[in-house]
Amino acid sequence: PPGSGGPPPPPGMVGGPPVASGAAIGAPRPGGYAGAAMPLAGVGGQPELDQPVADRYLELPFNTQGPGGKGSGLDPALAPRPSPDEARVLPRPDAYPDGAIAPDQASPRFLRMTVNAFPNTTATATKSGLPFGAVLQPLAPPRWPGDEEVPVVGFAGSGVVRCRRCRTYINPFAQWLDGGRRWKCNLCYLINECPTEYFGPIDEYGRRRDRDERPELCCGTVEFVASADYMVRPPQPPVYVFLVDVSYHAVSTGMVATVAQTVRGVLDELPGDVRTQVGILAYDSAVHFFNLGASLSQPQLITVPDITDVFLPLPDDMLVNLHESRALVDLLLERLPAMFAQTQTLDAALGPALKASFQLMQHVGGKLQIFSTTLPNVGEAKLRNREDGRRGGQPAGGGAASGGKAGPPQNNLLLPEEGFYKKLAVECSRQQICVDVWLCGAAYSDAITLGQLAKHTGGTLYHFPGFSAPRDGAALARDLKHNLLREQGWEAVMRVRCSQGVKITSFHGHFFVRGTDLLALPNVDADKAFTITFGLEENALTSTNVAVQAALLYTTSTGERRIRVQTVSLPVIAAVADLFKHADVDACTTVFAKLAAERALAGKLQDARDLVQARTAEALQGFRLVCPTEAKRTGHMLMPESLRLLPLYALGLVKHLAFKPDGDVRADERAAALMHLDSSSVHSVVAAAHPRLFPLLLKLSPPLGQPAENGLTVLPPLLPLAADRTLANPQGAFLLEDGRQLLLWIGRACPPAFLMDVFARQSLDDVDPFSVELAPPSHSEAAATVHAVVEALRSERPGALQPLRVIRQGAPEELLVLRAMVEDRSVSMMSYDEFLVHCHRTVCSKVG
Amino acid sequence: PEPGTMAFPAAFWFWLLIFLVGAGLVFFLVVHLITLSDLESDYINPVDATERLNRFLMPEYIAHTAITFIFLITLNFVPFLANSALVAWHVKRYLDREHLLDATSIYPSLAERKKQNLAKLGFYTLMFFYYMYRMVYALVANRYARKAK
Repeated sequence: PPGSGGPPPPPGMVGGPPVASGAAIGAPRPGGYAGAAMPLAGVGGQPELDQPVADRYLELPFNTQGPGGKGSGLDPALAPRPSPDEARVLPRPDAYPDGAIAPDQASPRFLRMTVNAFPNTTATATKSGLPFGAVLQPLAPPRWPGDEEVPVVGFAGSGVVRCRRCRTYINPFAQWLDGGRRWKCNLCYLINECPTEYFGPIDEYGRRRDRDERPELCCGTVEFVASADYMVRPPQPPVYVFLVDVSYHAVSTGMVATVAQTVRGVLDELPGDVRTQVGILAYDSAVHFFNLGASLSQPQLITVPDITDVFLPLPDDMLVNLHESRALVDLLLERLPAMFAQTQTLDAALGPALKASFQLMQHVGGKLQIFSTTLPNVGEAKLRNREDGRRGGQPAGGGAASGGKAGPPQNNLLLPEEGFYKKLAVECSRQQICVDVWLCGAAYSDAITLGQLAKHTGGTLYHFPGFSAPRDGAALARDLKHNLLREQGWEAVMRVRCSQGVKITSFHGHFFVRGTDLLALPNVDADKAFTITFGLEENALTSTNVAVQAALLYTTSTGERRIRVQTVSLPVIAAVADLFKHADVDACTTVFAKLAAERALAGKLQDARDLVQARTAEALQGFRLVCPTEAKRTGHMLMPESLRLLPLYALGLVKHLAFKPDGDVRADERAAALMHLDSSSVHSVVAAAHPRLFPLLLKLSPPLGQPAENGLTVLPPLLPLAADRTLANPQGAFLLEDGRQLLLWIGRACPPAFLMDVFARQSLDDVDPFSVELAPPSHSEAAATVHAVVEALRSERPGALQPLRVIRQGAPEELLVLRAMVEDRSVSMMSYDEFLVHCHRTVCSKVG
Repeated sequence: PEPGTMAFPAAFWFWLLIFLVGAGLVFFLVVHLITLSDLESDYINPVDATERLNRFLMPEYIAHTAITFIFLITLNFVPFLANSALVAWHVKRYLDREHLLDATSIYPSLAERKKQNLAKLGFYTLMFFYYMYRMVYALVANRYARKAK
């Protein structure tokens, strides 16, 4: 019988050195067990578990000095780290049934499951400890070679073919019966009649012969053109309204000038057509409107000083057609900074200004951008400085912001205060207004309360603490341009359906839940992601496959109503070991991050950290349960191949700005980080949890920076995020990328030859780090390679990573780089190897 | 019977009042449950539903707390003790600010709320029948007592 009484096997190979070749993984053990065909009890099986045993796993030996003496520590060099492809968050083909990403399943760039299979019972689900959920990014842009455009299908005649009962759209996994005259819905199992116009013969396998000509029958991601039945009103034109703070701080820091200049520059490229509308309002202690009627020769300023009862001074002409009033809008944006240059007022009446903007837009909807520097302090809905007298957001008498219990709501800086903003957000959502909030103040801006406007309307919260135009102007301009120009859908709703027996237990992201499983999204853009978690309705699933379908009904910027449908069909399996084979570590990390962000936004920060660590331990525990007894006896840590990076990413999340327990993290920064995690895509969250660190002091020449055969650019090898192995070297130069910023760290003793090649200077001592630029690519081969690498990174993160910031060793901004060193031990958190030991101990105490 | 006395005893009027309040509480709760089930089947949108539910919530809490207090001062300890547990729960929810519904978070908590409200409905109905019993007893027992005299 296999495995009983053989010699103890040699320790398996573990995650190799962190160089580009990728980690070597433990091979199947000698005399190893096959996966599925296991006898239930007795020989070689696990009688108490009734499950087949895992055949491949990673073993981490504990044989160095650790806290419990020799044999309780882990050699840091052996800990698993991502290979460059894994760090790029490319989906692993092994995780999918059949070992490849099938074209009739929805592309993983739109719909990424945490586990590409379903457990057959709730017991199996709990035993595995895995999260079952999905991350949806319906308008995800193509980022890699091989990412295709979504096929568009028009249904003339009968309209889109849908199931009679559950309204599922026709998809590649529907079964065709009766020679093609009827089809069986794969979600509710109802047999539907096929409309005569849609009829087509089926082949001997029961598939439609014309499936290759019909994208909806062979592609998992497809877009339908929606008929008039899908519209409650004619498709709306794109509407852009800018509400700008023009108080003293806004003007003196240069925010007004930066915003006006940026908007002026993109007026011609705004997504839309001849119907695009634009409106501009300003506020300080009063609300300022601008008459942009096409018949005027210059824009007219109308100030409404009475903020207790704001009304629109003109019935129209404040929200104008961009093409008709183009010259006026241009003139206004040019003059806006000068108009308010002499202002001395420190008041900001945001509440009344918001009500005015709402009145302006409520008949049509659209995007409202709010630029604010001062905490609203006059008029309705003013906010008070809750952070006053508290260091870093903790109340004087003990950490409610970082403690476990929520505490009374007024004391907890992570809970919103004024109900006005949430109510207004719900009203905006009903009128299809999406609000983006840009906070550029130096003092406390109560981001968590103002962020409610963005959270419930599907918008974004941007935070530029202490904005000052020379330093942050380029970053603000880049973000604003990206926000306005990226692909977006207007007046959208999204519904997710799943097969009978499976239900959706929660939604996470920026939206308003308008009905059961129905999300209202006044504006959905290319970067927004929505997370869902699944549960079983009854205890056991009887079918062999479970399908999940997500449908987004939206209006394009050119006024067409479309329905983007993503469908996946997953096998139902009973073996926990197979569930682990199909797990996707990036999606699992993202789901943990969003669950934790939701907990933190409810005021419970400690609970959020505990959730991440507890769920990681549960997953590892679930795997250990199905490992062979021999392996368990060695006392080594056993990890599944698919989830070997989970502890590293979990540690990165727990140390992230959003969750770390330091009192030095200001409430606004934390709120902005939490909201970013809550609405970001898989690759953004993984980059936030584990930024990429590249060495630059190697031979900077091709093939670095050039595309390899798979089409991806060759990047320098990844380094572990440990300061003592990287940043401790004063001669080093490193590039750090965390999904939003690109930082170039230069050591004190960096060779002047390198500086000459890359910056065209001998030394960086006397140079302002914000204005240092790379030498042009023609200057030297090294400079060309660095440019190529930076461009490759920028193409992976649309709209981010600009500008490149240079940070010298010892400068105060070095904190930005040190913060990313996830593997190091910090003030209150473990280092990576200690965390692995901790996980292992937790798992062993429960499993043995 | 002596001339000038009321045909109905004072206790009856007291219990009649309590009975009516009890009926009102049951009514509030039935409205609540119907609204939640309308929400689930998409007959009403969450903003309108939360407005309707929040309108009835504070009156329910206040009416219930009032009659519990009245039980205490009129020394009816059995109904007082039975209702005080629910009063304590209401107070806890009020202090935690969880009592009012919020349009943005109503869907996730829908199943939980339905269960809680069904339990409360069962309790209110039980107490309603108890009040009705006490009211009829107050009405009838005096007649028997007078007859016995």
